[in-house]
Amino acid sequence: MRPAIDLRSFLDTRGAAILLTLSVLAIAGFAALGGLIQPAVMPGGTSDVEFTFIVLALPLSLIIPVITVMMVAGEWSDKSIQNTLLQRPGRLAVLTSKVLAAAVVFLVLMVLSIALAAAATWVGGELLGEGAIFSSIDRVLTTQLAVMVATLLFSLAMAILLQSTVIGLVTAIGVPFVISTAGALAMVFGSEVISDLIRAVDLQTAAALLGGGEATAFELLPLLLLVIVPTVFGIRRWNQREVG
Amino acid sequence: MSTTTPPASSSPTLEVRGVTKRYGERAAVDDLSFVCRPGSVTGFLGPNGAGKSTTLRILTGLAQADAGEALVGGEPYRRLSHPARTIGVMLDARALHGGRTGLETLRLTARTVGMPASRADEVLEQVGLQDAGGKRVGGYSYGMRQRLGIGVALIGDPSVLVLDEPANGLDPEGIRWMRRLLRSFADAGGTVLLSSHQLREVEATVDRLVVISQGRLVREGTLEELTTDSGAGTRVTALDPAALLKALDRHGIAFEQRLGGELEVSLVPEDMGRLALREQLVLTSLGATTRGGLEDLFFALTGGTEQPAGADPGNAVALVATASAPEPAPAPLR
Repeated sequence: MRPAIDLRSFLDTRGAAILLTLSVLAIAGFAALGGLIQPAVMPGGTSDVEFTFIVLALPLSLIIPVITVMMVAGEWSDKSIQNTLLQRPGRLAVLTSKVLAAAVVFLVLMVLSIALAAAATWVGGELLGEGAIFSSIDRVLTTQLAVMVATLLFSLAMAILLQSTVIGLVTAIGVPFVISTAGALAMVFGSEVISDLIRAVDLQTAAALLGGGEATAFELLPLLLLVIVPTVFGIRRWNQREVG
Repeated sequence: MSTTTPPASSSPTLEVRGVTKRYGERAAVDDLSFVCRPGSVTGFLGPNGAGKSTTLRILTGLAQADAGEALVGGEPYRRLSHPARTIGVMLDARALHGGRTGLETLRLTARTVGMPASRADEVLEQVGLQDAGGKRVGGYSYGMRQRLGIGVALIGDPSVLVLDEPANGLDPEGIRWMRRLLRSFADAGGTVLLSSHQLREVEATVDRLVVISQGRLVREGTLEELTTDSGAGTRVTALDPAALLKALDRHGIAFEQRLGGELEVSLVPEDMGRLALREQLVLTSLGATTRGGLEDLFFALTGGTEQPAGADPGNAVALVATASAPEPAPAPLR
């Protein structure tokens, strides 16, 4: 396993440089939007770090799949996997290495996002408003972070299974959106059977409940269906797929 | 600048033993066996779809054989501890990431295979891209990508080279450079296997040939042996050309019609004379054909149904025809 090589091979491309620059700008922009505008719209004129992070979660729900899928599956799409596997023929080691590299980037993004959310909340609350609320930081580090981890895991599963940048991205971004929309519609129409079916594949909600310590065994079902099963099939495909 | 000079004693042999690969009902490679030994350049020839690229992918661990094995120095590629330090491979120049510069590509490869970063600069100069090292690969011409791909193959200072169509896109200077590179590599004891459609290039570069068609080995040997064999024919004319054609057809002997009613027959002159005697034919001329070139050999061995890139259309005639068919049907000259 050589995650440093995979990290470097991702970072030294022009596409990655553009993507990361835009990502950091989007994170900073949404952090500022969440933290600085809150005092003007909240009844107490305060700024809450959890709310700031929820605003930040909007760009992160796109940035995490894009970076993860590009790091893990990108080489299959641009064909450079051929040279990678010629130099490092251990396919499982290459896959593990790529997953670790993607996890490192995710970790850096999370640290940056939480730091920016905290900074923007402090500036908005203390300097522009009536005070900053940091007591909700534990919910950021549990519930919100769990949702982000779920986004990472689903993106990894799709990248490993589909081994294609375009299809991987469409799936990793589109499926959670479709499921959350379907969940909202099911609640409106009040069908319990459909609600349960959607709950069985609603990874984001399951992650939020897991992070908040309110999960039951049922919340493990989305993890099984959307992460573990696709990953197992993906690993098998990764090992057997012909290159070239 | 360091050069690629593999030590003769330690250069591994490439072995393909009974490899079979099927896609559905179709056998892309069918019980193929051959060996490439150190100190030689082996040309791997065959028409499109003959199974060359599949064989090379199996040899380099990018695909799995259904049967048989392909070994590098007695080991499957995937079990080599430092593959790029043993065997340099260039299968597809398009597999280089277009978003990196040439120098970055080589530096990343050097780091991956455990070579110092300075090796990237050496190789960049060796492949003649020192002025384009800062340019992104996406902006390279196909020939430049080929050079960079060969650079990637060379960066681990390997003792075996496997190249798929390395001359594609290269200008005449580039082809000459590649020819010298492969020659000096083999002369220093390295093992080289290259597949190509550019027959003249192959003829000028290789020592040995492995010719395949429809996934099967058709012929293996030195260039000299094979091209000499391919010329073992006879040019013949007869007083009654129709009777001659019928006689050849009846005996299943391959032939090609030439200008002026002359036939090129796949028999030595003595056997042609005996056949004429038996069939009571009056021959008006009889003589051994001159030794054929690689192009003739290629078409003869592969059925002459396809003209490879770089071949001279003037020579690219099917080598045989049957007299009984209204349209001459191709059949291999044996």
